[in-house]
Amino acid sequence: MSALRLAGAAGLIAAIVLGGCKSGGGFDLKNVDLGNVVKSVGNLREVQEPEEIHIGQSMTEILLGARPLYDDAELQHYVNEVGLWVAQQSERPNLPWHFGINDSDHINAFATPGGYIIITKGMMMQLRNEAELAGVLGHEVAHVNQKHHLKALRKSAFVSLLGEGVTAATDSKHAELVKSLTGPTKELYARGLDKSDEFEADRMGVVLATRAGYDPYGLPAVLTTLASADPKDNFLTLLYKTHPLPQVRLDKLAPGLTTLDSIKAPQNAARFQQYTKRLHVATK
Amino acid sequence: MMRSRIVLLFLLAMPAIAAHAGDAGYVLKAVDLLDRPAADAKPLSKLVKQQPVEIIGRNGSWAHIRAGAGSGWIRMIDVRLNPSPARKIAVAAAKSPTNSGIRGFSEEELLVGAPNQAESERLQRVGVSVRDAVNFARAANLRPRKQDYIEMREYMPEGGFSESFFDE
Repeated sequence: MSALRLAGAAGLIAAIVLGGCKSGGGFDLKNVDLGNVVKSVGNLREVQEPEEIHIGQSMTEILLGARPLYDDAELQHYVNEVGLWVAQQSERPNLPWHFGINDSDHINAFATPGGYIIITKGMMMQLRNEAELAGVLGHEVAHVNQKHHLKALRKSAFVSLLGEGVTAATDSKHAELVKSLTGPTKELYARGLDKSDEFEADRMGVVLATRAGYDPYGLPAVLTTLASADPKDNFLTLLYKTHPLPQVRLDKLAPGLTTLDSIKAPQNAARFQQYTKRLHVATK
Repeated sequence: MMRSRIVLLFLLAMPAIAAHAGDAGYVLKAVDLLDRPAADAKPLSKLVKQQPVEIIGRNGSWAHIRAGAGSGWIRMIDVRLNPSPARKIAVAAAKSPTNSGIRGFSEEELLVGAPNQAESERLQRVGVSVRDAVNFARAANLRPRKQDYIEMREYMPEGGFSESFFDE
Protein backbone atom coordinates (compact mmCIF):
# COMPACT_ATOMS: atom_id res chain seq x y z
CA MET A 1 0.00 0.00 0.00
CA SER A 2 1.75 3.15 -1.12
CA ALA A 3 1.93 6.47 0.67
CA LEU A 4 0.45 8.04 -2.46
CA ARG A 5 -2.72 6.01 -2.10
CA LEU A 6 -2.96 6.88 1.57
CA ALA A 7 -2.64 10.57 0.80
CA GLY A 8 -5.29 10.30 -1.88
CA ALA A 9 -7.60 8.49 0.50
CA ALA A 10 -7.20 11.17 3.14
CA GLY A 11 -8.25 13.77 0.58
CA LEU A 12 -11.23 11.73 -0.49
CA ILE A 13 -12.48 11.09 3.03
CA ALA A 14 -12.13 14.81 3.75
CA ALA A 15 -14.17 15.55 0.64
CA ILE A 16 -16.93 13.20 1.72
CA VAL A 17 -16.98 14.41 5.33
CA LEU A 18 -16.95 18.07 4.37
CA GLY A 19 -19.42 17.53 1.58
CA GLY A 20 -16.88 19.25 -0.65
CA CYS A 21 -16.66 18.88 -4.39
CA LYS A 22 -13.17 17.49 -4.82
CA SER A 23 -13.25 14.37 -6.89
CA GLY A 24 -10.67 12.15 -8.45
CA GLY A 25 -8.80 11.25 -5.28
CA GLY A 26 -7.73 7.72 -4.59
CA PHE A 27 -9.55 5.52 -2.17
CA ASP A 28 -7.86 3.42 0.41
CA LEU A 29 -9.33 0.40 2.08
CA LYS A 30 -7.42 1.06 5.28
CA ASN A 31 -10.11 3.60 6.12
CA VAL A 32 -12.87 1.08 5.76
CA ASP A 33 -13.89 -1.55 8.26
CA LEU A 34 -13.98 -4.64 6.10
CA GLY A 35 -15.91 -6.47 8.77
CA ASN A 36 -18.66 -3.94 8.28
CA VAL A 37 -18.58 -4.38 4.53
CA VAL A 38 -19.16 -8.08 4.94
CA LYS A 39 -21.77 -7.74 7.66
CA SER A 40 -23.69 -5.00 5.94
CA VAL A 41 -24.06 -6.99 2.75
CA GLY A 42 -24.73 -10.19 4.66
CA ASN A 43 -27.31 -8.61 6.92
CA LEU A 44 -28.88 -6.67 4.08
CA ARG A 45 -28.55 -3.45 6.03
CA GLU A 46 -27.99 -0.29 4.03
CA VAL A 47 -24.40 -0.36 2.77
CA GLN A 48 -22.59 2.80 3.82
CA GLU A 49 -21.03 4.88 1.09
CA PRO A 50 -17.34 4.20 1.96
CA GLU A 51 -18.15 0.47 1.91
CA GLU A 52 -19.95 0.81 -1.39
CA ILE A 53 -16.90 2.57 -2.86
CA HIS A 54 -14.61 -0.15 -1.59
CA ILE A 55 -16.79 -2.89 -3.06
CA GLY A 56 -16.81 -1.02 -6.39
CA GLN A 57 -13.06 -0.56 -6.31
CA SER A 58 -12.59 -4.29 -5.76
CA MET A 59 -15.01 -5.15 -8.55
CA THR A 60 -13.21 -2.77 -10.91
CA GLU A 61 -9.96 -4.53 -10.09
CA ILE A 62 -11.60 -7.78 -11.17
CA LEU A 63 -13.08 -6.36 -14.39
CA LEU A 64 -9.81 -4.66 -15.38
CA GLY A 65 -8.29 -8.13 -15.10
CA ALA A 66 -10.14 -9.06 -18.30
CA ARG A 67 -8.74 -6.07 -20.20
CA PRO A 68 -6.41 -3.31 -18.90
CA LEU A 69 -6.89 0.42 -19.53
CA TYR A 70 -6.17 1.87 -22.96
CA ASP A 71 -2.82 3.62 -22.94
CA ASP A 72 -3.68 7.23 -23.81
CA ALA A 73 -3.61 9.64 -20.86
CA GLU A 74 -5.12 12.56 -22.78
CA LEU A 75 -8.08 10.54 -23.98
CA GLN A 76 -8.62 9.11 -20.48
CA HIS A 77 -8.60 12.69 -19.15
CA TYR A 78 -11.17 13.76 -21.75
CA VAL A 79 -13.55 10.92 -20.84
CA ASN A 80 -13.21 11.91 -17.17
CA GLU A 81 -14.12 15.51 -17.96
CA VAL A 82 -17.25 14.52 -19.87
CA GLY A 83 -18.12 11.83 -17.33
CA LEU A 84 -17.66 13.94 -14.21
CA TRP A 85 -19.66 16.78 -15.75
CA VAL A 86 -22.53 14.36 -16.44
CA ALA A 87 -22.19 12.79 -12.97
CA GLN A 88 -22.49 16.26 -11.40
CA GLN A 89 -26.08 16.27 -12.71
CA SER A 90 -26.91 13.11 -10.75
CA GLU A 91 -28.13 12.85 -7.16
CA ARG A 92 -24.67 11.65 -6.08
CA PRO A 93 -22.26 14.32 -7.39
CA ASN A 94 -19.75 13.91 -4.54
CA LEU A 95 -18.82 10.28 -5.15
CA PRO A 96 -15.17 9.81 -6.19
CA TRP A 97 -16.14 9.32 -9.85
CA HIS A 98 -13.55 7.65 -12.08
CA PHE A 99 -13.98 7.02 -15.79
CA GLY A 100 -11.71 4.90 -17.93
CA ILE A 101 -11.42 3.46 -21.44
CA ASN A 102 -10.29 -0.15 -21.51
CA ASP A 103 -8.21 -1.60 -24.31
CA SER A 104 -10.93 -3.75 -25.80
CA ASP A 105 -12.25 -3.88 -29.35
CA HIS A 106 -15.57 -5.12 -28.06
CA ILE A 107 -18.51 -2.72 -27.74
CA ASN A 108 -19.56 -2.28 -24.15
CA ALA A 109 -19.56 -0.03 -21.10
CA PHE A 110 -20.08 -0.87 -17.45
CA ALA A 111 -20.19 0.60 -13.99
CA THR A 112 -19.36 -0.70 -10.53
CA PRO A 113 -20.71 0.66 -7.23
CA GLY A 114 -19.29 3.87 -5.83
CA GLY A 115 -18.66 5.62 -9.15
CA TYR A 116 -16.29 3.52 -11.29
CA ILE A 117 -17.16 3.53 -14.98
CA ILE A 118 -15.38 1.80 -17.86
CA ILE A 119 -16.13 2.23 -21.55
CA THR A 120 -14.44 0.03 -24.13
CA LYS A 121 -12.28 1.46 -26.88
CA GLY A 122 -14.58 -0.39 -29.30
CA MET A 123 -17.57 1.56 -27.98
CA MET A 124 -15.66 4.85 -28.22
CA MET A 125 -15.04 4.12 -31.90
CA GLN A 126 -18.75 3.66 -32.56
CA LEU A 127 -19.62 7.11 -31.21
CA ARG A 128 -19.95 10.20 -33.39
CA ASN A 129 -19.98 13.06 -30.93
CA GLU A 130 -19.75 14.11 -27.29
CA ALA A 131 -23.53 14.03 -26.79
CA GLU A 132 -23.45 10.32 -27.62
CA LEU A 133 -20.57 9.78 -25.18
CA ALA A 134 -22.46 11.76 -22.52
CA GLY A 135 -25.52 9.57 -23.13
CA VAL A 136 -23.56 6.33 -22.71
CA LEU A 137 -21.77 7.63 -19.58
CA GLY A 138 -25.11 8.96 -18.30
CA HIS A 139 -26.56 5.45 -18.58
CA GLU A 140 -23.67 4.10 -16.47
CA VAL A 141 -23.86 6.97 -13.96
CA ALA A 142 -27.55 6.09 -13.54
CA HIS A 143 -26.60 2.49 -12.61
CA VAL A 144 -24.37 3.89 -9.84
CA ASN A 145 -26.95 6.47 -8.80
CA GLN A 146 -29.58 3.73 -8.39
CA LYS A 147 -27.13 1.20 -6.87
CA HIS A 148 -28.26 -1.41 -9.41
CA HIS A 149 -25.17 -3.61 -9.12
CA LEU A 150 -25.08 -3.42 -5.34
CA LYS A 151 -28.70 -4.56 -5.18
CA ALA A 152 -27.99 -7.37 -7.67
CA LEU A 153 -25.02 -8.54 -5.59
CA ARG A 154 -27.20 -8.79 -2.53
CA LYS A 155 -29.44 -11.17 -4.41
CA SER A 156 -26.52 -13.27 -5.65
CA ALA A 157 -24.27 -15.79 -3.99
CA PHE A 158 -22.05 -12.98 -2.68
CA VAL A 159 -23.60 -13.19 0.77
CA SER A 160 -22.88 -16.86 1.32
CA LEU A 161 -19.40 -16.61 -0.14
CA LEU A 162 -18.24 -14.09 2.42
CA GLY A 163 -17.04 -15.49 5.67
CA GLU A 164 -17.30 -13.85 9.05
CA GLY A 165 -13.54 -13.65 9.53
CA VAL A 166 -12.87 -10.33 7.80
CA THR A 167 -12.58 -7.75 10.55
CA ALA A 168 -9.31 -5.84 10.16
CA ALA A 169 -8.61 -3.75 7.07
CA THR A 170 -5.24 -4.85 5.80
CA ASP A 171 -3.77 -5.70 2.43
CA SER A 172 -4.41 -9.36 3.00
CA LYS A 173 -8.02 -8.63 3.98
CA HIS A 174 -8.44 -6.55 0.82
CA ALA A 175 -7.16 -9.50 -1.16
CA GLU A 176 -9.67 -11.65 0.67
CA LEU A 177 -12.52 -9.32 -0.28
CA VAL A 178 -11.41 -9.26 -3.92
CA LYS A 179 -11.23 -13.04 -3.84
CA SER A 180 -14.73 -13.29 -2.37
CA LEU A 181 -16.10 -10.86 -4.94
CA THR A 182 -14.38 -12.41 -7.97
CA GLY A 183 -16.88 -15.17 -8.70
CA PRO A 184 -20.04 -13.11 -8.08
CA THR A 185 -18.64 -10.13 -10.03
CA LYS A 186 -17.77 -12.21 -13.08
CA GLU A 187 -21.11 -13.94 -12.87
CA LEU A 188 -23.01 -10.65 -12.59
CA TYR A 189 -21.23 -8.93 -15.50
CA ALA A 190 -21.56 -12.01 -17.70
CA ARG A 191 -25.27 -12.34 -16.91
CA GLY A 192 -26.27 -8.66 -16.70
CA LEU A 193 -28.72 -6.74 -14.56
CA ASP A 194 -32.48 -7.01 -14.60
CA LYS A 195 -33.94 -5.61 -17.81
CA SER A 196 -35.96 -3.10 -15.81
CA ASP A 197 -32.68 -1.67 -14.42
CA GLU A 198 -31.37 -1.21 -17.96
CA PHE A 199 -34.54 0.56 -19.09
CA GLU A 200 -34.36 2.81 -16.03
CA ALA A 201 -30.69 3.61 -16.72
CA ASP A 202 -31.64 4.54 -20.31
CA ARG A 203 -34.36 6.94 -19.14
CA MET A 204 -32.10 8.50 -16.49
CA GLY A 205 -29.03 8.57 -18.73
CA VAL A 206 -30.86 10.60 -21.35
CA VAL A 207 -31.93 13.11 -18.70
CA LEU A 208 -28.46 13.35 -17.10
CA ALA A 209 -26.92 14.18 -20.50
CA THR A 210 -29.73 16.68 -21.09
CA ARG A 211 -29.14 18.33 -17.69
CA ALA A 212 -25.45 18.58 -18.61
CA GLY A 213 -26.47 20.70 -21.59
CA TYR A 214 -26.13 18.11 -24.34
CA ASP A 215 -28.48 17.15 -27.13
CA PRO A 216 -30.86 14.66 -25.42
CA TYR A 217 -30.72 12.33 -28.40
CA GLY A 218 -27.13 11.15 -27.86
CA LEU A 219 -28.03 7.86 -26.20
CA PRO A 220 -30.93 7.13 -28.61
CA ALA A 221 -28.52 7.76 -31.51
CA VAL A 222 -26.08 5.21 -30.06
CA LEU A 223 -28.89 2.69 -29.64
CA THR A 224 -29.90 3.34 -33.26
CA THR A 225 -26.34 2.57 -34.35
CA LEU A 226 -26.28 -0.62 -32.27
CA ALA A 227 -29.69 -1.66 -33.58
CA SER A 228 -28.29 -1.58 -37.12
CA ALA A 229 -25.28 -3.78 -36.32
CA ASP A 230 -25.25 -7.46 -37.06
CA PRO A 231 -26.45 -9.10 -33.82
CA LYS A 232 -24.16 -12.04 -34.51
CA ASP A 233 -21.14 -9.75 -34.52
CA ASN A 234 -18.66 -11.14 -31.99
CA PHE A 235 -17.90 -7.65 -30.77
CA LEU A 236 -21.44 -7.27 -29.52
CA THR A 237 -22.01 -10.69 -28.01
CA LEU A 238 -21.58 -9.74 -24.36
CA LEU A 239 -23.49 -6.46 -24.72
CA TYR A 240 -26.38 -8.30 -26.38
CA LYS A 241 -26.32 -11.04 -23.76
CA THR A 242 -26.37 -8.63 -20.83
CA HIS A 243 -28.77 -5.98 -22.15
CA PRO A 244 -32.19 -5.97 -23.80
CA LEU A 245 -31.94 -5.61 -27.60
CA PRO A 246 -31.23 -2.01 -28.66
CA GLN A 247 -34.46 -2.01 -30.72
CA VAL A 248 -36.44 -2.86 -27.59
CA ARG A 249 -34.58 -0.23 -25.56
CA LEU A 250 -35.42 2.39 -28.18
CA ASP A 251 -39.08 1.37 -28.15
CA LYS A 252 -39.19 1.64 -24.35
CA LEU A 253 -37.44 4.99 -24.39
CA ALA A 254 -39.42 6.58 -27.22
CA PRO A 255 -42.60 7.65 -25.37
CA GLY A 256 -40.67 9.51 -22.65
CA LEU A 257 -38.38 11.19 -25.17
CA THR A 258 -41.20 13.29 -26.57
CA THR A 259 -41.01 15.51 -23.46
CA LEU A 260 -37.47 16.48 -24.54
CA ASP A 261 -38.35 17.17 -28.17
CA SER A 262 -38.20 20.94 -27.96
CA ILE A 263 -34.67 21.04 -26.53
CA LYS A 264 -32.00 22.26 -28.89
CA ALA A 265 -28.56 21.64 -27.47
CA PRO A 266 -25.06 20.92 -28.81
CA GLN A 267 -23.63 17.55 -29.82
CA ASN A 268 -20.00 18.73 -29.81
CA ALA A 269 -18.97 16.55 -32.71
CA ALA A 270 -15.78 18.44 -33.53
CA ARG A 271 -14.33 18.33 -30.00
CA PHE A 272 -15.16 14.63 -29.74
CA GLN A 273 -13.57 13.83 -33.08
CA GLN A 274 -10.52 15.89 -32.25
CA TYR A 275 -9.88 13.72 -29.18
CA THR A 276 -10.82 10.38 -30.72
CA LYS A 277 -9.34 10.65 -34.22
CA ARG A 278 -6.11 9.00 -33.13
CA LEU A 279 -8.10 5.97 -31.99
CA HIS A 280 -9.12 5.48 -35.58
CA VAL A 281 -5.61 6.17 -36.86
CA ALA A 282 -4.16 3.69 -34.39
CA THR A 283 -6.32 0.89 -35.69
CA LYS A 284 -5.76 1.48 -39.41
CA MET B 1 -4.23 31.42 -30.84
CA MET B 2 -6.78 32.22 -28.16
CA ARG B 3 -9.06 33.82 -30.72
CA SER B 4 -8.96 30.87 -33.08
CA ARG B 5 -9.63 28.63 -30.10
CA ILE B 6 -12.76 30.60 -29.26
CA VAL B 7 -13.98 30.41 -32.86
CA LEU B 8 -13.27 26.69 -32.90
CA LEU B 9 -15.16 26.13 -29.66
CA PHE B 10 -18.08 28.11 -31.03
CA LEU B 11 -18.16 25.83 -34.05
CA LEU B 12 -17.99 22.79 -31.80
CA ALA B 13 -21.07 23.94 -29.97
CA MET B 14 -23.21 24.13 -33.10
CA PRO B 15 -26.06 21.65 -33.11
CA ALA B 16 -27.52 19.97 -36.16
CA ILE B 17 -24.35 18.23 -37.27
CA ALA B 18 -25.22 15.37 -39.56
CA ALA B 19 -25.23 12.27 -37.44
CA HIS B 20 -26.06 9.54 -39.87
CA ALA B 21 -25.31 11.20 -43.18
CA GLY B 22 -25.88 8.81 -46.05
CA ASP B 23 -27.07 5.91 -43.92
CA ALA B 24 -29.85 3.78 -45.35
CA GLY B 25 -32.83 2.91 -43.20
CA TYR B 26 -36.58 2.52 -43.09
CA VAL B 27 -39.54 4.07 -41.30
CA LEU B 28 -41.06 2.11 -38.43
CA LYS B 29 -44.67 3.18 -39.01
CA ALA B 30 -46.78 5.31 -41.35
CA VAL B 31 -45.81 8.96 -40.79
CA ASP B 32 -46.01 12.33 -42.53
CA LEU B 33 -42.89 13.65 -44.20
CA LEU B 34 -42.66 17.25 -42.94
CA ASP B 35 -41.15 20.34 -44.53
CA ARG B 36 -39.20 21.32 -41.40
CA PRO B 37 -38.18 19.76 -38.06
CA ALA B 38 -41.20 20.82 -35.99
CA ALA B 39 -44.45 19.23 -34.87
CA ASP B 40 -46.52 21.97 -36.55
CA ALA B 41 -44.64 21.72 -39.86
CA LYS B 42 -46.42 21.25 -43.17
CA PRO B 43 -46.82 17.64 -44.36
CA LEU B 44 -45.20 17.09 -47.76
CA SER B 45 -46.22 13.49 -48.30
CA LYS B 46 -47.07 10.30 -46.48
CA LEU B 47 -44.55 7.57 -45.81
CA VAL B 48 -45.70 3.99 -45.37
CA LYS B 49 -44.51 1.53 -42.76
CA GLN B 50 -41.15 -0.07 -43.72
CA GLN B 51 -40.59 2.48 -46.49
CA PRO B 52 -36.85 2.71 -47.31
CA VAL B 53 -35.27 6.11 -46.69
CA GLU B 54 -31.83 7.67 -46.70
CA ILE B 55 -30.85 9.63 -43.62
CA ILE B 56 -29.22 12.91 -44.63
CA GLY B 57 -28.80 14.45 -41.21
CA ARG B 58 -30.29 15.15 -37.85
CA ASN B 59 -31.50 18.15 -35.90
CA GLY B 60 -32.31 17.44 -32.28
CA SER B 61 -35.03 14.82 -32.24
CA TRP B 62 -35.62 15.09 -35.97
CA ALA B 63 -34.10 13.13 -38.80
CA HIS B 64 -33.63 14.75 -42.20
CA ILE B 65 -34.37 12.05 -44.74
CA ARG B 66 -34.63 11.44 -48.44
CA ALA B 67 -37.47 9.19 -49.54
CA GLY B 68 -37.69 8.52 -53.25
CA ALA B 69 -37.52 11.85 -55.07
CA GLY B 70 -38.44 14.00 -52.07
CA SER B 71 -36.78 14.95 -48.84
CA GLY B 72 -38.04 16.26 -45.52
CA TRP B 73 -38.18 15.63 -41.80
CA ILE B 74 -39.58 12.91 -39.54
CA ARG B 75 -39.01 12.08 -35.89
CA MET B 76 -35.70 10.31 -35.38
CA ILE B 77 -37.38 7.73 -33.21
CA ASP B 78 -39.52 6.65 -36.19
CA VAL B 79 -36.49 5.66 -38.28
CA ARG B 80 -34.29 2.58 -38.00
CA LEU B 81 -31.01 2.01 -39.82
CA ASN B 82 -30.69 -1.03 -42.05
CA PRO B 83 -28.41 -3.80 -40.87
CA SER B 84 -25.23 -2.87 -42.66
CA PRO B 85 -22.20 -5.05 -43.38
CA ALA B 86 -20.38 -1.79 -44.18
CA ARG B 87 -20.64 -0.86 -40.53
CA LYS B 88 -19.30 -4.21 -39.53
CA ILE B 89 -17.43 -3.56 -36.39
CA ALA B 90 -14.84 -6.23 -36.89
CA VAL B 91 -13.14 -4.16 -39.57
CA ALA B 92 -11.52 -1.65 -37.26
CA ALA B 93 -10.59 -4.17 -34.65
CA ALA B 94 -8.96 -6.66 -36.97
CA LYS B 95 -6.40 -4.00 -37.88
CA SER B 96 -4.96 -3.59 -34.44
CA PRO B 97 -1.61 -1.75 -34.45
CA THR B 98 0.43 -4.55 -32.96
CA ASN B 99 -1.21 -7.28 -35.02
CA SER B 100 -1.67 -9.12 -31.79
CA GLY B 101 -5.21 -9.99 -32.76
CA ILE B 102 -8.47 -8.95 -31.22
CA ARG B 103 -8.43 -7.32 -27.82
CA GLY B 104 -11.56 -8.71 -26.35
CA PHE B 105 -13.84 -8.18 -23.45
CA SER B 106 -15.83 -11.30 -24.16
CA GLU B 107 -17.51 -13.50 -21.60
CA GLU B 108 -14.58 -15.93 -21.86
CA GLU B 109 -12.03 -13.20 -21.19
CA LEU B 110 -14.12 -11.89 -18.34
CA LEU B 111 -14.25 -15.31 -16.74
CA VAL B 112 -10.54 -16.17 -17.04
CA GLY B 113 -9.08 -12.75 -16.13
CA ALA B 114 -7.22 -12.43 -12.82
CA PRO B 115 -7.87 -9.27 -10.72
CA ASN B 116 -5.50 -6.46 -11.70
CA GLN B 117 -4.78 -4.18 -8.75
CA ALA B 118 -2.18 -2.12 -10.65
CA GLU B 119 -4.73 -1.13 -13.31
CA SER B 120 -7.31 -0.33 -10.66
CA GLU B 121 -4.80 2.01 -8.98
CA ARG B 122 -4.05 3.56 -12.36
CA LEU B 123 -7.73 4.30 -12.80
CA GLN B 124 -7.77 6.01 -9.38
CA ARG B 125 -5.16 8.46 -10.64
CA VAL B 126 -6.92 9.63 -13.83
CA GLY B 127 -9.82 11.48 -12.22
CA VAL B 128 -10.37 15.21 -12.73
CA SER B 129 -11.64 17.84 -10.29
CA VAL B 130 -15.16 19.22 -10.41
CA ARG B 131 -13.63 22.61 -11.25
CA ASP B 132 -11.94 21.02 -14.31
CA ALA B 133 -15.23 19.51 -15.40
CA VAL B 134 -17.11 22.79 -15.00
CA ASN B 135 -14.50 24.70 -17.00
CA PHE B 136 -14.51 21.99 -19.62
CA ALA B 137 -18.30 22.29 -19.98
CA ARG B 138 -18.16 26.08 -20.06
CA ALA B 139 -15.52 26.03 -22.80
CA ALA B 140 -17.92 24.17 -25.07
CA ASN B 141 -20.89 26.34 -24.17
CA LEU B 142 -22.70 23.51 -22.43
CA ARG B 143 -25.44 25.11 -20.38
CA PRO B 144 -26.81 22.98 -17.55
CA ARG B 145 -30.59 22.84 -17.52
CA LYS B 146 -33.19 21.70 -15.03
CA GLN B 147 -34.90 18.59 -16.30
CA ASP B 148 -37.02 16.08 -14.38
CA TYR B 149 -36.46 12.39 -14.97
CA ILE B 150 -38.79 10.96 -17.56
CA GLU B 151 -41.45 8.54 -16.39
CA MET B 152 -41.76 5.05 -17.71
CA ARG B 153 -44.52 5.04 -20.29
CA GLU B 154 -45.59 2.20 -22.48
CA TYR B 155 -46.51 2.44 -26.10
CA MET B 156 -50.23 2.69 -26.77
CA PRO B 157 -51.17 0.66 -29.84
CA GLU B 158 -52.51 2.81 -32.68
CA GLY B 159 -56.21 3.28 -32.06
CA GLY B 160 -55.81 2.30 -28.41
CA PHE B 161 -56.26 -1.08 -26.80
CA SER B 162 -59.11 -3.20 -28.12
CA GLU B 163 -61.76 -4.44 -25.69
CA SER B 164 -60.72 -8.03 -26.27
CA PHE B 165 -57.26 -7.12 -24.97
CA PHE B 166 -58.69 -6.63 -21.50
CA ASP B 167 -60.83 -9.78 -21.65
CA GLU B 168 -57.82 -12.03 -22.06
